[in-house]
Amino acid sequence: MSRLHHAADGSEGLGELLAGRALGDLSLEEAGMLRESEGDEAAIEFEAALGATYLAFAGSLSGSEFEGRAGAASPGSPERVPDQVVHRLHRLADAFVASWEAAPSGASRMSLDRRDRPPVSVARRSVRLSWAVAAASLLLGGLGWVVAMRPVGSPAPGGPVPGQVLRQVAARPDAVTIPWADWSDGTVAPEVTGVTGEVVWSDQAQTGVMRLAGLPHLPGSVYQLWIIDAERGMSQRVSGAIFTAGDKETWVTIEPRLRIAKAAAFAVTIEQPGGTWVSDMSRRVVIAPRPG
Amino acid sequence: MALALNVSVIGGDLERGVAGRRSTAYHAIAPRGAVSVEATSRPQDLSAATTERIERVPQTLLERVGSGDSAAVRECIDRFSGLIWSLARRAGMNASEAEDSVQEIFVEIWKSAGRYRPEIASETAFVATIARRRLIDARRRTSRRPAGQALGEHDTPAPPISDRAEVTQEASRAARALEQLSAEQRRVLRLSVFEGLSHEKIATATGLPLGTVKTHARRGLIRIRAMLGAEGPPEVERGSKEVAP
Repeated sequence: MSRLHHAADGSEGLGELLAGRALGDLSLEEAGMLRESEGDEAAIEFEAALGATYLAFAGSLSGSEFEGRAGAASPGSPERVPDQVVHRLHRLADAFVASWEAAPSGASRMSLDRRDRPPVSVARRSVRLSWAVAAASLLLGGLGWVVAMRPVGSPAPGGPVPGQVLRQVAARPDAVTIPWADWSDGTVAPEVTGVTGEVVWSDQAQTGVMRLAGLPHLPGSVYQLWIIDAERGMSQRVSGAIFTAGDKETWVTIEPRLRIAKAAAFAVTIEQPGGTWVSDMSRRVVIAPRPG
Repeated sequence: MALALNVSVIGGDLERGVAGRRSTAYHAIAPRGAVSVEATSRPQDLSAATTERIERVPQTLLERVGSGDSAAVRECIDRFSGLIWSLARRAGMNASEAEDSVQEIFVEIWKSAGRYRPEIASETAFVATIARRRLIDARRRTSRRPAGQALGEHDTPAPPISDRAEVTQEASRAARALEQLSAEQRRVLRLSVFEGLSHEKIATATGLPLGTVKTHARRGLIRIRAMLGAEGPPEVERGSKEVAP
């Protein structure tokens, strides 16, 4: 029996935190309260309950709800997977297995810092690429489509991890916590909505941590954090991080390349892989203006 | 403003840098219309606990994928494609969107298979958890919600979600657990777990205070987990179980 059974009997607070983690609604403070000992086994149990609950709801749709969502389907039977979808899935499986073979023997997951490998622009097409070309490119190393970037929350070799930075920042008397809000000023609508979380920042420490929940994966794009300095203004915003979305929550260390006199706001945009030096801010996500 | 955090116990996920898991730095990103497949080695970077589990003969399909069995990667398609396609369509996706999502979900299943623990969860629940996350993500990208559909006066049930016994069994177990919750808790859980709405949006939709929404969601999931756990761990699935027509 897992620790969770004991925890559920004796510690309502722990169970709520674990449930919150599965649901993706932990606050920064709550995430900090979960210790390393509340590990994979408990998390898997809650995730399994979440998955089973999802199945129950999906299976309980009424006939009219199903028609409205899935369109016409064979009455009385599950909707059949189209043959071409199955065919493409098998080719995807071939490419996935081939990527196992293509990796260096004995190598664990590669860790590439974007400073070591320059980004390669990704051609954007509106036409679906054939799987034969996709699989061949992977076998050849996929260099035409390879983008190396700093992984979500993972430090560059020797760099700080969010937990360590959060500890540093929290100790500063000037530390501020600012919640994210949908970035909409009436002229440009946010491209992604419903993202929650907060930024923790210290002008003294010149660093911070941000948490984002509900951030969708965006194949072919990255998220970029901009810091608006009260002294420089929006026109001279400073890049603070480039990242991709985590599975449930995204934690990123903020490391501006220039000194920030006083951070007035933090903003997240969507950019091409590798980020950009100058963003037109057209693809907006969230903003966290400093109060006062 | 000083932060009121118990920083002395921060650790675990944040210390690893990613909440929940280590992310992979190396991406192969294909143009839109194809799915990114990360080049990885066969699962070798394993924790001691994982190594101990895999030293016994992998018995379930996902364990076999996690141990590097190429045939198992393909068998996953036969086992799970029907369910995942059904879930994608029930999430309100058209056929093209559903295909994109199904591909993304399979890649994540294959990558995550090494985490699967048969003594804790069924393969169906594991797959459904991954599918849910990806489908909600996809819905947020398109900012589209399934069209509201007025219930007919004599509404009939939708077709079954799958013709595989293990899927209907898993769904039934959870449905029985949901029946034990209050109607308000069920409603909040449906909006959170199935529709993927934030607590703020659920509060707006239901008129409930935000704190109540959060409590309903969490405690509802806690009760469901407890009820599913009380039924005992799921039986290890060693083969397909077809429902007789």
